Amino acid sequence: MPSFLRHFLFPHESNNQRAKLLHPSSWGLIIGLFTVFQLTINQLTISYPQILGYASQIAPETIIKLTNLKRQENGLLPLQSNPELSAAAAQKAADMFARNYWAHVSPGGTQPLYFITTAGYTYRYAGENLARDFSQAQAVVEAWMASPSHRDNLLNSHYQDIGIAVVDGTLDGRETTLVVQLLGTKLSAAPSLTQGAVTIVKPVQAASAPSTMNYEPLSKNPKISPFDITKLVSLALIVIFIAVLTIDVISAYRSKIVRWTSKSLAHLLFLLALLIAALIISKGQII
Amino acid sequence: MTFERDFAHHPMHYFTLLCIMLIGLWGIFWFNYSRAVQLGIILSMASSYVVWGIVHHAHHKDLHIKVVYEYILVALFSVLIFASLIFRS
Repeated sequence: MPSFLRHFLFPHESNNQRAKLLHPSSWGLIIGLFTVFQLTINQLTISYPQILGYASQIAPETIIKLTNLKRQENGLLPLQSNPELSAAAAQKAADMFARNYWAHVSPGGTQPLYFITTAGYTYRYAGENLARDFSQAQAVVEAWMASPSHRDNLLNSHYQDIGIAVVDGTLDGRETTLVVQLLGTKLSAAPSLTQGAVTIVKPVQAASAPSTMNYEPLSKNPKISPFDITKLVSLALIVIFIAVLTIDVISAYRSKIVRWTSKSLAHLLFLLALLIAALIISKGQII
Repeated sequence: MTFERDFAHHPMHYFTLLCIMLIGLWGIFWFNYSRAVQLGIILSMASSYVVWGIVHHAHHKDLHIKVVYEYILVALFSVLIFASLIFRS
C-alpha cells in the first residue's frame, strides 16, 4: 500500500498512531472543502441551469389519481378534477414565483382562497397543500400523507373537487418545481352530513392581480440535481470517515494504543447516526 | 486509557450517547415532513454530542481544549452535511 494512503487512512507511527484523516486539521480541511463545494453548486445552478438544476416528472393527473387512491383506501369518495380549481392552483403558483414566496399566504396577505374565488369557484369548503422540488408524484403524495395536517386535508370527507398545478420557475434564485393542490366543495353542492365541518375562511385581503407568467406541466430534460450530487458526496464522505474510524477503533483495541485524543468510538456512533439521517432525507418540501 | 478499559469503565456513558443518537434519529424520521424541526434536532444532537464529549473526558480527567475542539469539528461536520441536504431538498 502506498505510504501516503497508510498515513492518511490507518494508525501508524508516521501519524502518531491515528489516521491523518482523523486529525483536527483534516476535519477542518474537509469542512472547508465541503463548504466550497456547496458554494460552487450554488454558482453553477445560477450560471448553468441547463446542467445543474431540478428536473421533475410530475403529472397533475398522477397526483389526482394517487390522492384518490389514498382516499379510497380510507373509505372516502374520490375527488373530481375541477378546471376552475386547477386554474386557481396555477394562479397561486404563478403568484408565488412572481412575488418570490413559499407560503400559503403571500407577503401581501393574499389567502389561497382568493385564487379560488377569482377563478370562479364559489366554495363551501376549501383547502390547499403545497410541495416543491419533488421529482416524483408518488413522493409528493407520500410526503403529504406523512404530515398530519396535510393528511387531514387530503382525507377530508367534505371535499368533492380537486385542482392541481405543477409549475416550473425560480424562487430565491433557485430553479424550483412547485406543486399546488387545491381541494374544495362548491357552495351549490349538498352540505355534507358529517359533523365537525371545516371552517370556511374568507380571504382576509384581496391582492392585486398576480403577475402573468406561463405555467405548464413540466416535461424537462433530465439534469444533474444539486440535491442528488450533494447527497452522493455527503454519503461518500460519511462512509469514508466511518470506515477509517472503524479501522481506528479495531486497531486501538488490538494494539492497546493509549492516546490523548477524542474517542473514535463516540465519533463512530455519531457518524452512523448521521449516515442514517442522511439516508432518511429525501428530495422535496411541503407546507 | 486503552479503548478496552475506557469502555469497561464507562459503559453508561456510551449507552447514554447511543440513546441520544437513537432518540434524535427517531425525531428526524418522525418529523420527515418538517425541515425546520429536523434541522433543530440535528443541532440538538450535535450540541449534546459536544457536551457528552466534555463530560466523558472530564470524568477521565483528560479534558483538554484540543479534545473539545475535535468534538466540535465532528459536530460541525455533521451539521454542515445535514443542513446542506435539507437546503438542497
